Amino acid sequence: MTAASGVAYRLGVVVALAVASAGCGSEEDPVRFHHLEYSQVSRPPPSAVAELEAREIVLPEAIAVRAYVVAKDNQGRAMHPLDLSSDDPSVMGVEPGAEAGYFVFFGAQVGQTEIEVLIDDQVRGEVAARVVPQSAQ
Amino acid sequence: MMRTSGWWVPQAGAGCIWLSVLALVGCTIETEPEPGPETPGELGEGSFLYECVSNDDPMCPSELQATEFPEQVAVGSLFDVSFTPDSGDATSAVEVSSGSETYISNVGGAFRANQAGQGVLLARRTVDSVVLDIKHMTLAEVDTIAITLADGYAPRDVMGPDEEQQLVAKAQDENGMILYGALEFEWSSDDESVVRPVLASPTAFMTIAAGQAGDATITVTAAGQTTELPITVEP
Repeated sequence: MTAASGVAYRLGVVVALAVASAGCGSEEDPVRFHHLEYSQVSRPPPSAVAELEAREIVLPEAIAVRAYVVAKDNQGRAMHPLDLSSDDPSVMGVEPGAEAGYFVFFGAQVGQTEIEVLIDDQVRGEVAARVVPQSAQ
Repeated sequence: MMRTSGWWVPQAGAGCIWLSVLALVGCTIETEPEPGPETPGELGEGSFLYECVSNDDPMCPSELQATEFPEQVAVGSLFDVSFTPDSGDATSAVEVSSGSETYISNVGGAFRANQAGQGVLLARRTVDSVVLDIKHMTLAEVDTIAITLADGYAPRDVMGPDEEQQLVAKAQDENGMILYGALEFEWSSDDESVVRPVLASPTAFMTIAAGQAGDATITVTAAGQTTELPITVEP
């Protein structure tokens, strides 16, 4: 092997490794928002049922609940810092609670919208939000 | 202790012990909180205070200071609610707003009950919109309007000429429970020469005055409901 061919060989190996590592990176599952988890949910009036699900929130109109909310990624890890924002606050509102991690959801009027999940001020996903008539329950 | 006539009579020293025990018991017994216009928020961050917008609210017959936080308010009525946080910066303003205008709307600085069901009030810190606490309220349709004398007794259906009665109108639900909130009661007579409302409507408190002999009907209307009070004026 001449000096020139040796350099070319090494260069080829470096390029091949770079391509291979880039290829591996593209196959990795990127961290994505997956679902919401809730705990310490306040109790709505006895006649009302609030459904806080992983990918959907259903509230009767004029009913509010507070919950401690954690966003989980596709690998089951908590995503921080979490903020939630309603696409249409005239349907369902969501505001931060008095303590970190708590949010208050309230059904403003019957309809459908989405609650955006923001991590570090970046929208990383959304969950469906539905407000149903009180008489529907 | 001494025993006299079959009764144990405590001596001075024993009496002191008994008194001490009674005092301790008295200190540890928790008394029921007196009903008042405040009620704890559902999230435990403070208290909601019910306030009347006028004396037409049966919760405030003489002053605007309510005696209790009402169980339910009448659809169509006006009322006010404020919030006092249990802790935090006392100077940070908290605003109470409705979570759904369908059920409770804000009308000129007061709340109006719009529809039967549950309404929800949110206590928000104005600086950052943090919801400190929530309060659901039961809103009920007016089923009947009860007319009584000011002392609660039934009004007289027979009056003499120039006689007067002081009447009060109160809204009730289908179970006869009083509904709170200020409603606009409109009073009228089908023959004012026999009996007539003296004061201007709307008002929950009305004086009616008898005139000439005859039969007439006093009608009270509020929140879409009407009650009639037949009156006979005898010579």
